[in-house]
Amino acid sequence: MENVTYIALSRQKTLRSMMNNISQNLANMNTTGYKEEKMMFTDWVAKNKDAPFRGEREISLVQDIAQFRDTRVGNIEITEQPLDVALSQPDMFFAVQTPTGVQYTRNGNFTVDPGGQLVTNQGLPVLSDAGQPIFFNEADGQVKIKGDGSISTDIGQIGRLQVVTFDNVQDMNKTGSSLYSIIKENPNDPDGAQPVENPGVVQGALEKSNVNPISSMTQMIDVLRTYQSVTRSLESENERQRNMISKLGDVRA
Amino acid sequence: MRSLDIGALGMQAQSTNVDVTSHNIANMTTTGYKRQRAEFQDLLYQDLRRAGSPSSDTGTIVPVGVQVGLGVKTAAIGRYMGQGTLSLTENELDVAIQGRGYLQIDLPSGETAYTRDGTMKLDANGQIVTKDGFAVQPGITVPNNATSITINTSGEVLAEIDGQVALQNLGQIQLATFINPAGLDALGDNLFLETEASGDATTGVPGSVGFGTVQQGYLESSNVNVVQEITNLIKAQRAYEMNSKSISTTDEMMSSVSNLR
Repeated sequence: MENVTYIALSRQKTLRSMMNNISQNLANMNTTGYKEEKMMFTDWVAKNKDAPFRGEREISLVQDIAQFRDTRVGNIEITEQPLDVALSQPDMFFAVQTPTGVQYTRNGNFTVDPGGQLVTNQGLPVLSDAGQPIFFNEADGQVKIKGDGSISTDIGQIGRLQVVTFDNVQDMNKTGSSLYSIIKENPNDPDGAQPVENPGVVQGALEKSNVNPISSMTQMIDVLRTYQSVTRSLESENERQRNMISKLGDVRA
Repeated sequence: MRSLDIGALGMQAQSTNVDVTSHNIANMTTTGYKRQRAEFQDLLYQDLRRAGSPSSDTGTIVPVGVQVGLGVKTAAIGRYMGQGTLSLTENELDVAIQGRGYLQIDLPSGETAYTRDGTMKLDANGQIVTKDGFAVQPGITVPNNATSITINTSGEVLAEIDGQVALQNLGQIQLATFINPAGLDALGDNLFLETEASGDATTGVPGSVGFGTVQQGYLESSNVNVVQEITNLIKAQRAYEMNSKSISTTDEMMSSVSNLR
């Protein structure tokens, strides 16, 4: 009897998480290297063999099963900052040393720390292809980063940025601060990072987020209207039940 | 609903973006000003359904999880240290630094401040000071009978004195460089202080390896690019509007529930 309510409830719940997801994308519209997330829904069939009516033996609810990350490259914005780098191809990442192990990012807004070490704007060391931090010193002067990620200065080659790719980038876990990690069962397992020969690094540029504001706005309107119509169907179900109770409960006859 | 908070964080981030951009535009004609840029990062995530967790007893695993983001944060407001254009002033005590380096200024507090603003003046004793009256290191005093001052590209201050054929060398301006100049602490009045992030100052004379040269009679304009700033302002405004739209949409969703009868 209550099926309409449960079905509507499951839809409302998914619409709310979809709305959260859209606002997350919009909030990160100007976040360097941010990738748009999309929700995936699936039906979830509840079976009840003992239901009195055939139409109620199987009811189809909805649940949010997963998120899909749009990995397309965002706009490349020129910043002219020598230590800003952008990756011009999708599914590639810079390796960053964090206290909890190596993590990956597409945010190439790098600086140097007082020790001359190349770090992210969070102060985490950026790794070279040998897995080591990269150091500059006062005499280096102009820094040049080539398309293959190799860094050279006035006094010669310093190293090469580690750029890696993965078999399935959808597997990567977002940890915030533009970082991604790989979930490993055992901390000593290899994380499956594969070095990229020619990553197409662009110096003096940053990759902006790839959030599509138009589709986000349209989705948002869609979510709102669907939510309102589901709410209305809840309302009319409520009305029907009230009617039923007052009519069947009327004992004047 | 999370989207209310997320939208609010988004609006805050974009208003920071507008603040930084308008600060740049306001300092468009400030001598030696370096433009700043706000950098954003996504905030942390909540795992609602973790990728890789088992989805059945037979060992199948969830291929893609559900991670709910909690908004955006301002990660850094970086300073872009690129060279500003030089503008001719023909003032003999104006210098522009071409390349790396800062002039060193003695603050009344005894600390040393650093600046790219080379507008210098003479005080009552003939000492070279900034327009706020702070001494430029090393203290150089111009004698009363000097008729003109020449500052060469390596910072040597030479005075032409009435009745003397040779120029008199009064001293040499020194520059300071930092491994991470973006980490300097801005004090206002075009002055910067050394911080832990900038590293220690390395001093040297203009023109030596790793140091810029000085140009007499010029000042360094700000490196603000107006077109870029205006574009950024438009982008920030639109993003702000969209975040406010996500708040009002969430509000409508919630009100449709609270009006349920």
